[in-house]
Amino acid sequence: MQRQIAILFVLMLSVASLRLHAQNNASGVINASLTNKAGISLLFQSDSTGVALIGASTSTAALDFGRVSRFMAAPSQGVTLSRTSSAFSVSSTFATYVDIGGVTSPGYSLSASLLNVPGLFTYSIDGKPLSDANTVQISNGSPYKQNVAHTVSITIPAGAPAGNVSNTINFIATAN
Amino acid sequence: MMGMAKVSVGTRFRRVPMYLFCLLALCAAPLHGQATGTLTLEVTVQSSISLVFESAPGGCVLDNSGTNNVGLYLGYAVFTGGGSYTGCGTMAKLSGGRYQVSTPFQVVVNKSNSSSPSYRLSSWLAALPPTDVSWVLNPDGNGNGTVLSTTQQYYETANAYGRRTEVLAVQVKNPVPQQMLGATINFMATAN
Repeated sequence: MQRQIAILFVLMLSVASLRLHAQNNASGVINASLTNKAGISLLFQSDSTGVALIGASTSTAALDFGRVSRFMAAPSQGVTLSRTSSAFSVSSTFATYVDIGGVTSPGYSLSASLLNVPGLFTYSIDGKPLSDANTVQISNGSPYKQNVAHTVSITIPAGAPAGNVSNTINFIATAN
Repeated sequence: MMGMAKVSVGTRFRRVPMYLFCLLALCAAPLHGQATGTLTLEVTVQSSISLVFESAPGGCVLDNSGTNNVGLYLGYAVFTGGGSYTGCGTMAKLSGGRYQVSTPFQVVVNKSNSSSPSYRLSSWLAALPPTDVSWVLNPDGNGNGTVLSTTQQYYETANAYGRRTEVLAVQVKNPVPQQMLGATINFMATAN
């Protein structure tokens, strides 16, 4: 009996020793990895000579020309008004800021299209009329990491009814 | 024909993985190389009308014709019983010891973004003229027309948009002393 007790005691000491050893030495490995993908971003910025954008420095901005009329004396700040014999146009400058990472690209091309049917109105970027059916290239080889100024205009025929006019221009910046 | 068909089918099957690869490549490429953004434009178009004056054929030439602020110099007129005149207008003797110098001019009123069918025209003097001097719009053969005062008068109520000819006259009675007779005549077109 005493011998059995002695054996049991020895076994208990051995187990206790093993547990102490396990608590003092733990190991693990983290196998970390990152896939750095190429990416490009497009932001809209206000231009100092144009209408201040709503949501500037984002990729979803808005530009409100305010109230305009063909024979108004002076449009609001940042809006340029011009007239022809049958229509008038309001225009404003704004800027695009495109950044890129993970790839070497000398520049980008910018294209645009209208979200909705323009109806009686003509929307233009830098003098290039936009369409809801086709994408129009606005520029090519534009530099990254700097504001690039553009002019957006709406031509309103004299025969168009008064009221609110709205449309959205979809822009695509493509790395060259 | 059958043989050709078999070859064709086999070729299609062999190309399927290539097509899939190409499609996947095309779909993946824009994700890496394109960024998109939207710029929403808002504008509130309001109705407006414009008014400018132009020289009329056969009438006096307006200074700054084609604008809404013009000059009109009618020349020299002398009352000598029958009247004598040196100027660009037309002189006429009227009853009551008066003479009249008149000239046609054109009013051009245009509308934009408006459903207005017509406009009304009003006029008034900036200051009262001297005694026995009258400024009259569109006088008839007897000199009767819209005599202007410093009160705004709507003398035409449903004019069609575009160009129309009006006549401005100054009527002077015999006792009016020698002087330069000037007047600033305001016009206002109001859309109906």
